Amino acid sequence: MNERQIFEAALDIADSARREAFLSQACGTDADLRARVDALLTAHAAASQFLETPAVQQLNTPSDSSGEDTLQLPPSHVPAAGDDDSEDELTPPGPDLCFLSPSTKPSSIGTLGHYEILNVLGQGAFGIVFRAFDEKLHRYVAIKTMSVQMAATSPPRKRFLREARAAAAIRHDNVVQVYSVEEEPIPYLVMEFIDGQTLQQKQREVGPLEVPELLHIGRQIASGLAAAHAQSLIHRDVKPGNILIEKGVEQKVKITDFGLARAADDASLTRSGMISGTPLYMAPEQALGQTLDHRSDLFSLGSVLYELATGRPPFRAPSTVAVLKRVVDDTPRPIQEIIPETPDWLVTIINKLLSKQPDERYQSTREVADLLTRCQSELQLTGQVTCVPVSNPASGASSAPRVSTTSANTEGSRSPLAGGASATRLRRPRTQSPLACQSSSALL
Amino acid sequence: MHEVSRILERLERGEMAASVELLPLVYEELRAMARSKLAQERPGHSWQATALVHEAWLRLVGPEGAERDWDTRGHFFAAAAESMRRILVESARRRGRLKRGGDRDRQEIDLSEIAVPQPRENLLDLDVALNKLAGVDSQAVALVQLRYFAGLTLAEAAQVLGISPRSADRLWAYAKAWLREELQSPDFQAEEN
Repeated sequence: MNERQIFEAALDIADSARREAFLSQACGTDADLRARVDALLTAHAAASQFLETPAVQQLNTPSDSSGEDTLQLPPSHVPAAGDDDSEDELTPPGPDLCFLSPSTKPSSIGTLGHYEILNVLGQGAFGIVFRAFDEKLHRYVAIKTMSVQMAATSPPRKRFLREARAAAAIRHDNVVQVYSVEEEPIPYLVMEFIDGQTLQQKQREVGPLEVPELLHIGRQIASGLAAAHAQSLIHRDVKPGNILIEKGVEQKVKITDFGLARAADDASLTRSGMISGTPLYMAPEQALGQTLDHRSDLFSLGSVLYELATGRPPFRAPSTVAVLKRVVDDTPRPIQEIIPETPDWLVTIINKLLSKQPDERYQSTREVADLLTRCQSELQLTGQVTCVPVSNPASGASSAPRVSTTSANTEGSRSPLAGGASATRLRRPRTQSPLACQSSSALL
Repeated sequence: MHEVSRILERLERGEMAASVELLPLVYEELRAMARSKLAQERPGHSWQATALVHEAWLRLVGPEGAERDWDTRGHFFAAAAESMRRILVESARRRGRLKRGGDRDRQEIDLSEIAVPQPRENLLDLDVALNKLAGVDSQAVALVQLRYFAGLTLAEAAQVLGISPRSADRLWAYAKAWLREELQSPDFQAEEN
């Protein structure tokens, strides 16, 4: 054995007596060799940063103190995007994984705590999501790390941890379970790993959903949100990308990223004055920067259901600012103009969720979850839904003149004078009259 | 096709001599890049060795670089690591001369080279020690270059060297211990003075 082989073998022996025995045997009578190996082992043991940071990385000029101050400025004081220096060209092309420790397993990218990081699942506004293996509990988990840049600043870091702890308190079948919240080397969340796809991916594949499937998914989203709202936790970023559909016939829904949007906003607002992520599903009060409550999540749920029904989000526009403007001012295109078969009761529910004024929406999430559950069971049992009064489905959805219930039932008789939307409605028997469901009117 | 791509193809066909031609090309590119980066340097700006090397890869090999396998990339990374070592050591040497005030006539003074902070390791000493280690274990030197000068992770460096991450981990421990021991030895200190 040469010097290197003896050194490496000795490193593997933790027990000092056994190591000593090995060294005497391996070096034999070669005192020089033994002295060399001993010196190497001593040098190795001397804890140090020697060579651990690549040389070029150490050439950073000290950051001047104004760098700190910029982060404290309110958004209005932050220079517009154009004034800012363009992002430096040295930003690495992939995610910055410098917080991972090397792993001895070939299948692993590295380790974080007692987790073997296996692959990158996605990259979001606030960091990276990995699939990982918990070496202690022997199960697969999803790990969400806070981005290195963000972790460096204190307010988002604290908020990330606070929101993550709050999210960890929710236990519900339709919410991704947070197993633990860690702070070192960077803040990260350990969560239940869901094998499946996001609602966004699903929607992209299949387009608009049939009503029973829409109800099945919508009901579960509402139930998950209700569980969070019961603990006064607002999601703030309900969107198809944050809703996971577990693989399998059951199509179980799991909502993820509770409250994390807030930490992400904190960081990006102070940096660029812009909202991070997509505003496509955002409530008007959110777009205006006003105070939010659980009803803002209900608006976003409405946006998601609108997209499930039509295949497109309600407020599309070429730029973020234009989307925000539409969210605040515009009425979305009537659902039945896009998918004429959509039943009135569903349009009513979605439009109510999409009311600009929080007071005009449903007031509790539990109520929405119960209503959707009820719709689902009615539809399964009778093929009809009667629990939703459709007295006022038109709040923005359709201003076309309505044909009265009685004449609407003359199925198939199309008036040549009727417009497209109402003509379609003629073919579909109304499920009920507004008075047919007294019991549920309290829900609305 | 880029010159570097052609050389990489020859390497893929087993023409190991082609690597001699690779080094100067990679070296020139990285040196030009490092120089322009230094010139643009802003306070608080963070250098990323891997980003520099990856950018050089993109510039020299172009988009088709994505199709190259790790074996081929390995040649490139090894050349890039060697280049980065030379660039940084030359820069440190020049700075030493500038500080002593000599050499003014022959060398144009690049202020950024004096102003930039230095790594905690003394690069000139490290360079000497690495040359010595090369006589003992060239693979250990290659690993140090990939990690310390090119900024590769242990896993990436292991791939370039064609060894397991575990072996790379142990080799890294050996290389660091060897170099530390060398740099601390009275002999070395004496040679320097």
